Amino acid sequence: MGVDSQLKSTIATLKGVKATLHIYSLQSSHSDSKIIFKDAFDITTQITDQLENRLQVLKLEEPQYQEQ
Amino acid sequence: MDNWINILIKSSALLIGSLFLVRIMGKKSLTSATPFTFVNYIVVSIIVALIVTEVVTNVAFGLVALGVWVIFPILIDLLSLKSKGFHDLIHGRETILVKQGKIMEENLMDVRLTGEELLRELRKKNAFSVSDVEFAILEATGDIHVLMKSEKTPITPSHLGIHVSPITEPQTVILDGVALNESLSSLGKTPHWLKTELEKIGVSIDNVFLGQVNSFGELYVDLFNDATKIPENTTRELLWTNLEKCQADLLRYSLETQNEGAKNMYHENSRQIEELLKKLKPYL
Repeated sequence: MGVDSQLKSTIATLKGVKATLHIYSLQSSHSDSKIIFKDAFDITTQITDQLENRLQVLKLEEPQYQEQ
Repeated sequence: MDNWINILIKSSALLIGSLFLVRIMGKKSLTSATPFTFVNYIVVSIIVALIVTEVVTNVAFGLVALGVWVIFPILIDLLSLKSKGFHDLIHGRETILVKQGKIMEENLMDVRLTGEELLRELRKKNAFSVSDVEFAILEATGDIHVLMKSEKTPITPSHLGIHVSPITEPQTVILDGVALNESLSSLGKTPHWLKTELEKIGVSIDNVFLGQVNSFGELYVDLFNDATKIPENTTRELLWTNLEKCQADLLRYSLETQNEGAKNMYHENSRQIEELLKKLKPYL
């Protein structure tokens, strides 16, 4: 498996995590847990964005790391 | 008119009447009542019994007496709400029995409590040794409440410095196979949501004896048919493991990559997820 596909699967997992966190942040009935889940959602969003950028860079600039 | 018809009518009328009277007299439980409240309830019931069985021949007189014993206590309650002094006068004050680990013998004498009775009450609260007791108080209702020495109190998460997730009261949304729309709407959920959740675990609502929604908004159900296996809700565990996996992945990428910028980015993000895991731990 090439680096890019590994990175893709990590991004996919992280997106799943992000969605679940979002659901919890909306569903929680306690304001403290709402805030925690919201924060966690924001952080994971940031990380997925950065990873996606990196994936673009990998695709365009470093084709040698793609599927051999 | 026959006597028995007379009694039948009076009984029925007073049964319904006293039902309402007791309702307006308040919600306080008799087990935690002060002696006065206790006497009050007994007098009311005796007056009702006397009227019904025609010991009190004049019904009007009986009702006047009943009225006094119902209305005065309500007035007294209202006054005791307003004034602490009046409350103490009517209901009495609490008495300290043990202070800083020392039994207050004079106070015991005042409330005419023997040492054996005190010991019995302490044992009820699991304080078998007086040396474990820091403070004990005799409430106006006659109950004894005990504060154990701090080294004898049960350990709570705050003693251990553990952060636990706050919980709110669960809401019962299904009872006896019937959806309770009122509690559903207080959660901000629709009957449609409930239907979807039940479909997810593959049960019909007729088979659900009890369904509760916890503070995470997850549905827990108990079925009439206990042989049916319900899939356990593992969303939170899955979330935890997935986050851990991502963190490990990022750490690996940061070690593998040659690009200095990407290395830093991976490392920074893996550290962030690690912090996130720590924060989320009590909630998952």
